[in-house]
Amino acid sequence: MLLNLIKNEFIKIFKRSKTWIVFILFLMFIALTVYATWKGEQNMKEINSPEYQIQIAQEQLAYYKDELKEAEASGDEAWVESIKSSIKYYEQNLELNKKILKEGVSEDSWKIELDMSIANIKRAIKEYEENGTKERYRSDYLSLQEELETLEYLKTNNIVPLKGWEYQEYNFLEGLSMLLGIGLLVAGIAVFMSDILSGESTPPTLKFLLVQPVSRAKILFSKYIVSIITVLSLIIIPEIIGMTFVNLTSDINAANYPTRVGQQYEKVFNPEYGEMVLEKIPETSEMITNFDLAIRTIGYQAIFIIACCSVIFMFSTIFKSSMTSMAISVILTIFLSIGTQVIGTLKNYSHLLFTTYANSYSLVSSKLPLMYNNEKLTITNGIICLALTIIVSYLVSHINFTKKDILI
Amino acid sequence: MKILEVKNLKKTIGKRDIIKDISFSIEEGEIFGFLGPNGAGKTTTIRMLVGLIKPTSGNISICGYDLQKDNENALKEIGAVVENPELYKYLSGRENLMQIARIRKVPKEEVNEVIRLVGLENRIDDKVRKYSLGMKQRLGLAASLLSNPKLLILDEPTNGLDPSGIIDFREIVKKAAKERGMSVFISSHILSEVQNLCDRVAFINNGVIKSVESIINNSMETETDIISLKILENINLNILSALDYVKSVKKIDDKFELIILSNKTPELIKYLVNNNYNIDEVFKLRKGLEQRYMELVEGGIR
Repeated sequence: MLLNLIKNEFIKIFKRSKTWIVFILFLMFIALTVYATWKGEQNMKEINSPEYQIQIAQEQLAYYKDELKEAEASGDEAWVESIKSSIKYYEQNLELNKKILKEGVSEDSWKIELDMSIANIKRAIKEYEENGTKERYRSDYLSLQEELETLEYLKTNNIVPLKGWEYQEYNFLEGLSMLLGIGLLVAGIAVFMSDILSGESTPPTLKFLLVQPVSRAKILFSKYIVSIITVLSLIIIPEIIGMTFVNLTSDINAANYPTRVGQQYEKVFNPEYGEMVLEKIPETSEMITNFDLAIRTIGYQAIFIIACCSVIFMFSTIFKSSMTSMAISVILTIFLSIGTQVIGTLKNYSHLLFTTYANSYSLVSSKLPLMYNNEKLTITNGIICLALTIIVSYLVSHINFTKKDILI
Repeated sequence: MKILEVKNLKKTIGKRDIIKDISFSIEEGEIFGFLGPNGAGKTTTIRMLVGLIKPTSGNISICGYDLQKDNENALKEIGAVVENPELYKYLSGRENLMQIARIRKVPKEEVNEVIRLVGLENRIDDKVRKYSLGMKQRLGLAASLLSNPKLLILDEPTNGLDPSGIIDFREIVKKAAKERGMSVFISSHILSEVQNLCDRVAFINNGVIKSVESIINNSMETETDIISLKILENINLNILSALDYVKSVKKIDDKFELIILSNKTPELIKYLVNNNYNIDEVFKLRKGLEQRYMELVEGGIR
């Protein structure tokens, strides 16, 4: 019986033109994000090209040479020295880029650069330890150690270091997750799902369904399951298609590239800023590959989508008018999404609101606490918050739907 | 066997008593009319019969199954169209029927048979948004006939239909009831519809069933008749009102309107003729069901 109800709901949901319109819009959004990732790389490549660097160096040199005249006229020695140092830097840069332009970059140059980076970081770590300042600058010290671990992993596994703006599927996923996290995912689900039940009140097709020999609980459950499977499929499948497309059209294989997850933070008073800031708790993070990160991101995103669907489904059950349920769903969820990002007081409670966890990439990569300055935004808290949201929303929907009189 | 049994049904919404303790039953194969003005409580009763709203108190039993306790078994025996048949406009007529067929486990052959019965064979694969009101009513009826229910519940089924649509619809219901031996509960405020279709009728007003009565030969026993009478001579009102079978009399223009005990019209005519009054015109203002409706629902003459 339940399977037949589920089949009915699938037929209805995929016969609605709205489903396909939202799906096509999401595909277009994915395509735009792919393009933005590619364009971002093009821009960064251009900025980092020797030609561009030469042009910048020449402009800067012209500027500083003019300023040097002013500084010498003023008799300010410190100013003169500062400008001379800048001029030296740009002259070296100019020479280096001219050399690169003329001779090219050797394929193995990254290995030399990597060795140099490792040596520099080791030196800096040693300085902290010898100066006895590693406790005072614990956060910086920890960051250096983590970076060292990452670079040594790259060296051991012969992986070319990435700059973070390359056109590859994991950067695409990060960008997409960030865009969806600012409220787009919640708004999209709200628009798609808010009339899933209330839409059967206007016109009142629900009567047609409820006079059949099947319990209301089963009807509700079938609608819930079908809408969740549909939304999950319509979001995650295009995401995977987008990632596959980027993977196939990119020269970079970043699947085994290391990244850090699980970092926990604590709030400490920073005398320099005069306020509480987040600081890393030692030995709480672990290194995983980009591929693992993507799997976890999509997994947490799926839980978020289920929670979001459950809340919108609840509104759709409570309100008879599809316009009312849509308006309330969209306004409330967008207010929560954006409000927690911009209203300081709400940030402190952001870990209690399901909408905060929309950016699953940031949640998994431990960047979310820094975005909200809230150390409680951990993966465990996220799962608890989302699970409670799902259970409470479904229970409210169930009680409301099975008990209420259908007066439409 | 009683197909439907309603006992002491009450429904209060907010502080308003919408249904005030109604009881009635429907026998197997019976077409039962539920007659009352708009707002009398017909649709609220029907919503309770199909489980859309819960009674405040009272019992509804369908083929022996208690609707409250054994909802799924009770609803298996019912096919219903509540108010206008609101179907999924973006689906075809056939897919709308298949939605129910899947729930009720009705084979495709039976769906096709019902489509033929309601005469929608040629348009069944069109989207419902392209249907006329009459076609939607037929599709709604087809939906309610799937799985061959023992009780068919129709709420104002001919609302909005044109005269030929009403006749077609009535014929389909009669045919379905006769061929399939099902009981039909039909609510309406259209007297002719009930008179032409039903075996028994319950009169409801203000949430109370005033009476449940039988319709025989498309008519009904009444307590009184309303007679329009025109006499060529002048006659004193008191002479007429003094007659023991005359309940009231009033003069309207050059005619009298009398409420007399039923079946006393020949006696009245005989009296007037014997007393040398020349009767120019005499006829019953309302007959059968219409008269009974006025007696029970409207409280007499209007």
